[in-house]
Amino acid sequence: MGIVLDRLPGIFEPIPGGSVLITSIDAIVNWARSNSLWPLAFGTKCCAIEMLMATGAPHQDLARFGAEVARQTPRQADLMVIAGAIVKKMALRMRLLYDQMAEPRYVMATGSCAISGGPFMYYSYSIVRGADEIVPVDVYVPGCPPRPEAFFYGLMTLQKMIRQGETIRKPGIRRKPVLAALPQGITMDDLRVEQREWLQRDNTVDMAKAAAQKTWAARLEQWVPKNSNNL
Amino acid sequence: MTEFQQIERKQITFGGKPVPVAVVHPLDRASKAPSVLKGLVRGMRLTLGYFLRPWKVVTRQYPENRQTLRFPQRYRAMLTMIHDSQGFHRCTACKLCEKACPNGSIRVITQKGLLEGVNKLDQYIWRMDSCLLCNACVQACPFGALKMTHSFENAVYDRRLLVYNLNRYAGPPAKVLAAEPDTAKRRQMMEPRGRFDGPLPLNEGLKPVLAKTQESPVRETSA
Amino acid sequence: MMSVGQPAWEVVTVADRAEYWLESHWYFAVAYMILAVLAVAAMVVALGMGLIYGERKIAAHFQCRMGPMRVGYHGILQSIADTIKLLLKEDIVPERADKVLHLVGPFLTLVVTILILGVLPYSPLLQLADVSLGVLYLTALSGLSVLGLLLGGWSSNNKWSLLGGMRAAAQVISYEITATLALLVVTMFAGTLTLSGIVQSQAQGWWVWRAHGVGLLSMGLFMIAATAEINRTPFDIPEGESELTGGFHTEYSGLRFAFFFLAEFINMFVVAGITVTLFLGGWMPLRIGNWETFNNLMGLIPPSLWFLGKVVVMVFVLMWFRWTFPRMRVDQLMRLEWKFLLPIGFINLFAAAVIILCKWYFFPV
Repeated sequence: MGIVLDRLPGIFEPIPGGSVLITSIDAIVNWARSNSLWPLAFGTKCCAIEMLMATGAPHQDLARFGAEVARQTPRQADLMVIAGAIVKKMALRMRLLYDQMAEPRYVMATGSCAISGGPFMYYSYSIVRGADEIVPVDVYVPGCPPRPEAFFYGLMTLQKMIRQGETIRKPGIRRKPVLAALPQGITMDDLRVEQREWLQRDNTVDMAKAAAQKTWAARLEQWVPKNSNNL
Repeated sequence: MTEFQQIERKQITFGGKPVPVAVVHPLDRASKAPSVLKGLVRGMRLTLGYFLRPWKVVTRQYPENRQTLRFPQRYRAMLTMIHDSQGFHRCTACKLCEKACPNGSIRVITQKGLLEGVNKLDQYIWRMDSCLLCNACVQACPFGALKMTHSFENAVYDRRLLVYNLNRYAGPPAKVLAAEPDTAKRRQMMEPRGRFDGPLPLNEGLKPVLAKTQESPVRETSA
Repeated sequence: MMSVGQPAWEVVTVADRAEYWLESHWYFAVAYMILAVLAVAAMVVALGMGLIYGERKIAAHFQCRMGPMRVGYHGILQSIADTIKLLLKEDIVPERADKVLHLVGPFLTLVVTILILGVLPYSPLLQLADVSLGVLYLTALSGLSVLGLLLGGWSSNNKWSLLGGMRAAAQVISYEITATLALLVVTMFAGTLTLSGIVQSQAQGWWVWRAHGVGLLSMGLFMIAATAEINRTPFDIPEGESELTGGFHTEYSGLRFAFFFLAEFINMFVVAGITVTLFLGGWMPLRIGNWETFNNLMGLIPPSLWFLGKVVVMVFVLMWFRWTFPRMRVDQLMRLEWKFLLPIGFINLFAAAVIILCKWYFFPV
């Protein structure tokens, strides 16, 4: 049915009033996608306990957002929650899992390790400095580990992006409202004018190209000895 | 439920050779059936009890309970530099916090001050994307210039927005400024700094190291 | 042993109506059939959405939390959001998978489930078709459902899916035996294989207590066996996430996965429906002999509401099982069936036969 959706703009645009129809279809489709994000539980380290296990537990309930159905198989998951540091050995497998996910797919990097390598940013022989060297990340949730409430805030930010930034007119292109989410206590005035322009310039992401650009994992071949059964 | 069944081990002769066998008495297993069923029913009663008492729900609904959220006092979510009511901070750019930080998430950039030989703070760059909120900087600061706050709603779409300046002005700390009676001269000593001055675009001079033998950013960025 | 009570209700199925019009105005018959198909489709969709929402909310309340809360008022629109999202996901077929079988697997699972939906008696006037081999038809279809699982596991070209599919197939065909034995007991008491006949034979009382201990034991056996047939906890090894990353439906996404997902929930309804039809009286109201006022009051409630109420209770019990018991290992599963439930089932059947032959029952059968 995704094929049907791709053809709809071509069918409806020429009709007068077709844009309104496409906008309303957009609204419904984005509402549905944002309200039923099924996470792929990619928990590698301590963040997994907060992001995946504590948020699924009764005190903070991920089911309220409709995201309790955590599928272990990437084919059925929408959202890859990277909870934990990515070791170089894991980077290849993470890339594999990302490639196996079905469109539309979102990635949320939670915790310092997934954003930038975290505690291991300075000296480490084995940690990848940030998951966005490997997969294109949509939302970053800082913290070490972030509270479940911080994760929910990140989820709501992602929902905002899905509702505002995607349209069936341009499948595979996502507009990230970069300046719509700022760390708490920071206003738009703090971002000087030229920086604001700079940030808005590369706002629109072509997901397919972005995913193909992360070749870091491919360079990891050299770390895996030949003929090993690590893969 | 943890008592094992009676297993009788003995030797029988089979085809002329002695063979060790273990004899299990099936009725022993069957006699455990009532306790098994009792255990199942006990579990079902427990869950039914929670179902029939919906007021026992323990969920805290986050976006709706924002006004009444309370955290433990020592919860750390974000680092701030303390600015008092007049807007002065207490940082003397001694760089103890930069040395204390385990992974280089703090860079203190100084500039030559009006007073001879004393550096003053120019930019205090803090990287939230790599900070592990370990509190070492707060503890290391001898002037109490830093503080960890509870503001956790920091999700961003772009990683560059997580690296920013913590000081609102570049200049001497509150002690020095308070000793200056003339407000005009005081204002001259303070140059305003924005939140994203300097660090954006991301880390052109703040590359993380890949191994100890490679370049270390600590030496690079001090003025 | 024919045991039909006074026929207080007249049973007319949709197939009867279509057949009546077939000779004179055949287009009415066609209209009835199309209407039946549409009704079943609507029922599947509505049931699926309702059951998925119900499962999430009930599971949540069993676990001291609230389920979906933000999507509509208390999450009512959650199922709709899930459905729309699943429909619009990318359809991935693994490169070296068997394309035809990959497509057929989920369809077969769903089709078999819907076929059973067509023969359940929802009320005296609301049954789609009264197959003259009712109980045998049910057994045959549960045998066919194995094929969907096997196809799903085989066609994914994934050895772990294959293992999951094989485990699922082994589990389902083992537990079919116990289920059939339990159903046979009621068939013997009722004397007829047709489902509406079995419901009507419960006019004096439901088989679960009218068939004495044998009825209760049969119902217990059937509940356990049916839970295993539909791959629900505590028997959900084939789809247990920690076991095989999804088992036989690992490589399915989008609409095909939606079919598997939907089939699981409709299967739950179907199993509850069969239990209710055979053991709990179907659409027959509760009747305690000689309490005329009570019986009249119970008779006032429409029969379809009786059926719905009973099915809701049974579905709740199935969900209760799921969220209370931990998962059984596959060898424990098989041991349970072949070493415990099967002998008990046979003894049950034998005892039922003896009771019927020697007329050792207290209530007028």
